[in-house]
Amino acid sequence: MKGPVPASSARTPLPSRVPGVLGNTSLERFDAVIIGAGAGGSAAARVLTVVGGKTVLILEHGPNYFLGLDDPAPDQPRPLFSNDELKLTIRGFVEQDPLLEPRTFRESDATPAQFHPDVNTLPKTVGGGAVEADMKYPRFNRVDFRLASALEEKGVRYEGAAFADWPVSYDELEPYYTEAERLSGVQGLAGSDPYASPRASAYPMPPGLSMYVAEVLSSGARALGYHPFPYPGAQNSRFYRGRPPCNDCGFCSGYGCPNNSKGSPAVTTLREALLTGRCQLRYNAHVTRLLHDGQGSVTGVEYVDDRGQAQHATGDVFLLAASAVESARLCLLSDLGNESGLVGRFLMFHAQNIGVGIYRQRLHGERGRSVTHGISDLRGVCPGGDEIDPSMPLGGIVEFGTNSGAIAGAQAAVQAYELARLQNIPELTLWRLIRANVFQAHIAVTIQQGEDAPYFDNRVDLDPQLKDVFGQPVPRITYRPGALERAARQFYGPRLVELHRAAGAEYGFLAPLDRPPQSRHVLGTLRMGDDPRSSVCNRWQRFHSVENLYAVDGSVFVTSSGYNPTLTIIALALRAAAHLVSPSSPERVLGRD
Amino acid sequence: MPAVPRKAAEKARGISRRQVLRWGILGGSLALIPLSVPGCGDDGEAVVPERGRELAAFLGDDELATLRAVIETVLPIDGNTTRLYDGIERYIQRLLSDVPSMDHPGAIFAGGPFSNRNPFPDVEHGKASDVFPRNDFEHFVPLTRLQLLGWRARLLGSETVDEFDFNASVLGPVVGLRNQYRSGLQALDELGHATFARSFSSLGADERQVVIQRANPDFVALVIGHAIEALFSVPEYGGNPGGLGWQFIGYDGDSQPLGYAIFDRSSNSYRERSDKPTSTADPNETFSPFPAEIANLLRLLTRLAGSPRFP
Repeated sequence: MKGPVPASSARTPLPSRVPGVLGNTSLERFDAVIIGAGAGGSAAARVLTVVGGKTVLILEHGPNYFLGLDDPAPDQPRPLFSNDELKLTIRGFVEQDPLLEPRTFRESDATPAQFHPDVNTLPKTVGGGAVEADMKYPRFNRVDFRLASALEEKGVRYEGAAFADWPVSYDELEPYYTEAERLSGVQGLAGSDPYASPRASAYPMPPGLSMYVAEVLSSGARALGYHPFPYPGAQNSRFYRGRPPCNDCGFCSGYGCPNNSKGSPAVTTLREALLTGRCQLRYNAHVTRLLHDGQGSVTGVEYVDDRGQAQHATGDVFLLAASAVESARLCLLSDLGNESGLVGRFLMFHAQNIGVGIYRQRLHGERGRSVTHGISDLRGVCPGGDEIDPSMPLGGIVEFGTNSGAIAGAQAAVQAYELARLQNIPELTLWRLIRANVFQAHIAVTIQQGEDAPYFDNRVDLDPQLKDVFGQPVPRITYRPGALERAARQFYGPRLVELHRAAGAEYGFLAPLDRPPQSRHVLGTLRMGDDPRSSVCNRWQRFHSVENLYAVDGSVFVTSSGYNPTLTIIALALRAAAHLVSPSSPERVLGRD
Repeated sequence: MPAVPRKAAEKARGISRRQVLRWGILGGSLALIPLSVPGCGDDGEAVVPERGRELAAFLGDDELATLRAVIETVLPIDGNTTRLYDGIERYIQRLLSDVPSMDHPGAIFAGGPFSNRNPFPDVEHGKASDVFPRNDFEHFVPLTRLQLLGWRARLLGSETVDEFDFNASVLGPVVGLRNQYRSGLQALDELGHATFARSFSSLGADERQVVIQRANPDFVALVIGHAIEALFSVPEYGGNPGGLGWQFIGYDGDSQPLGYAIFDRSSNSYRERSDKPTSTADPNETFSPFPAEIANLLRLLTRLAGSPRFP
């Protein structure tokens, strides 16, 4: 008789002294309630508590894997993340479960929305989406914040695109970018990207080691006249603010960092807020509704705790930081803030075009930080980043990437083998293909984070049929590429493939478009602006129609730019919170510990 | 009237979201064929392990024999690979048997941060130390209430889980993996009897191929998918004994806490590992061409991908 199989009986200790709560557990009255412990919510919490002396309650939907995050000992305890592909990228350790919280997708109003297991979901966990990201933290260009004007000046139009200027300029945001880089710990080399806008100071840390795949692709890029540069990233390359240097373990994009080298919001801004004694974080706490008085004021929030019990919390000010999709959904579920009719509208991802190259040599993408280099030559702006370049469509930064995952590589081999079987390729067996490890060891990708224009019809609203486990309507995503994205794919696709040829690849092709898009850059839906008729939030990210409600995540973005958005989310959240703390001189909060 | 046809919805619910590759690193480039897994019957059986007691193995001896025969048929591995097959079998049996409950983590999420396979770095001297961490991977992480709901439905079927009827009228029930395996293996045996008057595991290799060709392709895909997970996941889940799967593809597996870039505090800079460099090709890299059958496949993939492309 085989089996019974042995079972693990070992248990991990409970994550905190009071289950489900971190920080000062005795606090009962709060100046501010923040919904979401990701990049934006944590940055705002840090300013409010450390500099502003306010008391803050953070409600986080997901679990906490940073045991002892509120322990003031100088060496932070290591979290429960690990170099475990199955746990993180297959079984969804930090993800919402599509069985419990499904989403639906459609390309237009003309077709019914269908359930899909993954419509641009971001991790729900303490630390938010950045926990699982590889922390690529570039800034936007100066021209991004006045994009509508810049396009008009050059006579460039994209049919249907609702571009607008931001109510904040790059120069106003620059000190907050500097602060965001300081708090997160960003490595990079000032002056190495000719398209970057001016910066007032050097990066906090120099670049770490290059990945081999980045060196290979950079040589191809240089042969084509491009300007590869070390990608700015929030991974320590030195001992920095109590955290160790990254050791390039290879499990970066898609994985939490096991040794806190990543400047994840949890171990940077959030931890600093928790250590003030003025912050309380309740995790596994799913907010279901914002309560309001019907007069433009939020009075409290309802949430469900980890035991499934309905709970209530209140404060003076409320900050939404649950991601562009979930923050907008919460407004719609609460029937709040939508006087403009624009809540959920102008949803943007990035137009990700991906060139694939297959190389003879092993590129060992499992050593490094997932992406260490890229180019801005295909961004569609002039050097210096002040103007658009009308000779090409708006595009985006190109990341030089690869695949670190053995399971992912073998899964791809299974799919490729299915195709091969139909063609009867002699001598090819599935095992031989898996052993060759083509799709893990020999593959490189050029990923363009292309500008995704805001279109009125691209949006999130409430699905009329499906419910989540809490009994509430789930997000329905309506999205399709428009005039800009089609033009950009046409223009840049061949260039993304050509780069592989120049780098010595044996084979190259353009990956088909994902539907729904697989981008994790989720933006728009609560657009900021000065006119309440054409925007949801004002220049300080407060709702035009709700006096004590703010949005401090990617939802306020007016345009998507062509760069990874997290650093900009943090900079904006720092600025909004600084204005809350010090309306007359918000910049006085900067640089303070 | 459901917006989604029932069968399509059932299939979609079974897809692990992560089978669609994520994070743009490979994006759609590798999602050439959508993987799907089946929705079959549901007998509603729920076996919950009690804490401190050994778990009952879900698949019985006959089922295991059939499963082994299926794996050997759909994934013929060259050479002496008994240990690899044992690992795949152990991985699937454990997934189906070790069901998480309120006071038992099951075998869903191995712990962290480190296994004991790599040493700590010696950052004072920029080299590997001889100190190894304890193996945290062996201590599985307890599930939250929501994770428990989802995983019990995924393993046992949604009809056995309270609070799980909220979309059943639109999407239908979630068919548990246990029932997918039980009914899938039983169907193969019945097909073996119908075709060759013998159980699947007692058939010869060619006969097994005939039966597999007629079997439910969703079940075959499910088994292959789990076999891949078993071969290349960290060994603590039961497959990949001693990292043998990784060795076959020249992959290191988990690298923490040493990693590949070793910081040297004395020079305040990084040192690369000479045996496994980060920024250059491996010292023994040959740049040799792909074997003919692999090259043929890559030409086919390139052609199917459409333009722009090369060669």
